[in-house]
Amino acid sequence: MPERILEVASLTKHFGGLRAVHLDLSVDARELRCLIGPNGAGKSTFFRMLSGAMRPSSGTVRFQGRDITGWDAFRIARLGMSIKFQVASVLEELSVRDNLHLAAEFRFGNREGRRRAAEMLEVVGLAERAEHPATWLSHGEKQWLEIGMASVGEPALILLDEPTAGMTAEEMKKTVRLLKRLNEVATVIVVEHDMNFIRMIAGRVTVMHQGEVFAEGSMEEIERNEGVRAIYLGKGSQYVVRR
Amino acid sequence: MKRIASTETLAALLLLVPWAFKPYTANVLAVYMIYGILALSLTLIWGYAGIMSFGQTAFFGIGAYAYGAIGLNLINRTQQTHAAVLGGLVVAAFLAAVVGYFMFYGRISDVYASIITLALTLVLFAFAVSTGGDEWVIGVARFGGFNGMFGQGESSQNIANFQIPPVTVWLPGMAQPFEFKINRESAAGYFLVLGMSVVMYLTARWLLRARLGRVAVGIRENEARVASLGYDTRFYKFALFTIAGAIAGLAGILFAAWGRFVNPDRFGLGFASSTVVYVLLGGRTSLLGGFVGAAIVGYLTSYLAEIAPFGTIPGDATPWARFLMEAGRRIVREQGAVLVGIVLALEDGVTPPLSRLLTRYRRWAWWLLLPAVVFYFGQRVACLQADVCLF
Amino acid sequence: MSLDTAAIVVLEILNSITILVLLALGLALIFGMMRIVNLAQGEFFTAGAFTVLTAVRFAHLPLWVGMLLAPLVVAGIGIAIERLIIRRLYGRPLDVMLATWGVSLLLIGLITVIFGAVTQGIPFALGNFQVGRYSYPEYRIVMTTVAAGLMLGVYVLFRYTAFGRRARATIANPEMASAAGINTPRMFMLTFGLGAGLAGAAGAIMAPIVGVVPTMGVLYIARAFITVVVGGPVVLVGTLSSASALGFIEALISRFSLFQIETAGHCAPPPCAINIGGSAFFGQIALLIFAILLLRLLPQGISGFWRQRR
Repeated sequence: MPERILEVASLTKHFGGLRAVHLDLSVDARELRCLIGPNGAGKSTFFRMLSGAMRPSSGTVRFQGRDITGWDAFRIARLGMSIKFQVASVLEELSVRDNLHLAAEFRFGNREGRRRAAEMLEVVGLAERAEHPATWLSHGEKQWLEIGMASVGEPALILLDEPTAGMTAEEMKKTVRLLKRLNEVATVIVVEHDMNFIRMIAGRVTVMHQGEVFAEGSMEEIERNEGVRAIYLGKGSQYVVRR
Repeated sequence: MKRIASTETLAALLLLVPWAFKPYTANVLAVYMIYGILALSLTLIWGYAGIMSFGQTAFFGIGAYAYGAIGLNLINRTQQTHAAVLGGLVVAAFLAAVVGYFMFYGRISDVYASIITLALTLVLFAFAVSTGGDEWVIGVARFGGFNGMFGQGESSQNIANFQIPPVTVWLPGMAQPFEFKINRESAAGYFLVLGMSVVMYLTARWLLRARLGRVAVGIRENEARVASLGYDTRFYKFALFTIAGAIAGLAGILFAAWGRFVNPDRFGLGFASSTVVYVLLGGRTSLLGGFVGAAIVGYLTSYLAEIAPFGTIPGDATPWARFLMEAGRRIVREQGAVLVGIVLALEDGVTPPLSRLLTRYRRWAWWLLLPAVVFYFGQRVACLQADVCLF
Repeated sequence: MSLDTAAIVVLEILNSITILVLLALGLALIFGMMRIVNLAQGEFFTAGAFTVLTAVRFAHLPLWVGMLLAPLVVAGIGIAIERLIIRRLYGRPLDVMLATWGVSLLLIGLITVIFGAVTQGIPFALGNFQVGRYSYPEYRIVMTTVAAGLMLGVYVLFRYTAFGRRARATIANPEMASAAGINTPRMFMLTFGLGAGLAGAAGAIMAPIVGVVPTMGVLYIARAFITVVVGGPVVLVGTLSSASALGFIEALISRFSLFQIETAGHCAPPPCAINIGGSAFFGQIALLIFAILLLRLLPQGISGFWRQRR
């Protein structure tokens, strides 16, 4: 029985009278978990609550055995959880290297952080662009930089919110390789829309619907699930599960 | 961008040296540099961390008042003002730390931060103005309300007023105290201000190259992102704000020691707005920008005051012409039009584009700059020795 | 404390609250609805006072006509400024702030050119009434009534009229509103004009009790800003609640001396002593300190706190 790295119990968020999220979820260490669900299913809200960007209305989050519910974002990050936001939010005016340096520095200090940032530049394939301000990067490159920033601090858990949004097929393959490499040392939770991507990374899948966990299992099980198909088919062709 | 500053700065500094031979110009340049240091402190937190402190002058003013109060009491007893300089710095930094703590640890939004600092300086203005009475004294230092701070001799039969002392150093081993004054005999005060400008500039550059600088820019760009990387952004904002407050306080100390005087205007809306103009004009993201902006505004203001002095509107001017001339003069004096113009026209200020030009035409720039410097030196020497002055 | 003293204290507090409401209402409207920090608000206030001065002194109109005219004139000025300057700067909040500061300096300059830099008074004919042993100015009751009226007016305007609905829609989501056929630039312009007009009304109402001078706005702007910051995002509730809390503090601190500190100056009958409390600027300092302390606890202001709790 592997160690539980993340345990979420009846985590709830209300917006006014609307209950946006209410779920239980647990993730094992070194797992690669995919979180899918139609727009408005509460995936991003869930991530924001996990990472401390938003305070939950009720419920608890346990990370590595510690109750981190309602902690400040920076304390959660220090504990070893990092996040790549849905909208690429690299620090535009800093150079690519400084972005990574900043992300590594709080954990490893100045000198070691600089060394690790240089290593990460190679891993995400941005070594040639190291001195460019991040704002010059293409959309795909920004996504990789963010993935690099999320992983350079050697976190135990990495949350990735739509890492392949707007990527070409070629870029997506590169992202899959990157993800698998990250997963060798860390637990990864990925939110995605793209079923091809989910199939490629082949992890355990959790389906969210209207803020709750709707189904959970391997990709094959999920694709066979009639209820899941109904949710997606009901939401229009964009989300049709292709065979 | 980052590398050019050092060489060009050196050239600029060389350029500044000969001015010191003439007390008037030394005095004027010194005050531009003092305002430049103040602007530098605003650049640090506004340009880099994105926190607009409209009331940066609050720390300038409190530093000046603290230096004045301590210096007036100290100078006759100890013949030096070490503690006054230190005290001014501590008081300014402390005020900034207290305000910064409540603002940033309370997580108030950026707009609120600018309003709070503005309110702070305006309330201090109201306070300083209402200290005209005899009861407002600290030792021999009278606050003096509108008229500004001065010292008053203690014996009741012979009330003698005296001014805030210049920065005075008397270290062990020195035969007598040394005053940093600016007059016909000495430009020491000028070089003190010049030296402090350089030190503050280098300090700021060093800070920004270190982690603090990267985090600060990160906060300006995307605070939530930086927090999610594990940085306590509140602490970094608080630290930078306190440091900037101390730098503004130093500028205030130099100001009080330079003019030997401080009055409530240093807390006023006009001075606060001027500081913002310096930074805007010089460029928000350039540490030298504040100095450039202060010099440009200072020079323009005195130049415009020269060509349009008070009371020269001809008596036979029509009411409309009189109105227009008077309005124009007001606008020039209050710098309001300048401010609105800059905001609408420029996004970057003048320094960053200028330094980009310099980097781009680097080789050429040196060939132009070198003869200019040589010519300039020669001209100054000729002016001093033989009274042959071109400008 | 006897009954009449208690009544006077209550009246003083009420007066402080009234003044804060008058000062802050227009500012809070512009800030709450448009997220614009208008540093020229103090000069709108000044312009209102000078409109009354012009009407009474130079046009020889009755005082109340001048007071009705003032908000209209100032709203006009506000609309002109919105069209000329602020419109170009939407989405650049700091630049708007600087630009309005420039406008404020320009307005001060302009008013000084026209009227001169002297303090002028506006005569008015109301007297005092007796509260036990004390007499109290009747005009202050008028001010409170007007302040309450203005708040009610703003409430009705935004709650029950077509303009209010459109304005709220515009503020909530400009893109949706303009897709629904609302002329959003016009709504912003009118909202700004309304905020300016409210400042003009405040200036007009307060003109008879303060010295009318071109730089008078600067004296009030700090308090107005503190009130708005403490009030938070909900315009009416925020303004009223923060004006009440702050007005209470200010009235107490500025009316009553707390303690004395002896100093070493050359006072006519020695010894010299500073009264802590008991003057207007101590009221302001107390206001600032209280506001900063409060913001540590309620960073979103009072109304933001309540909105979050709900």
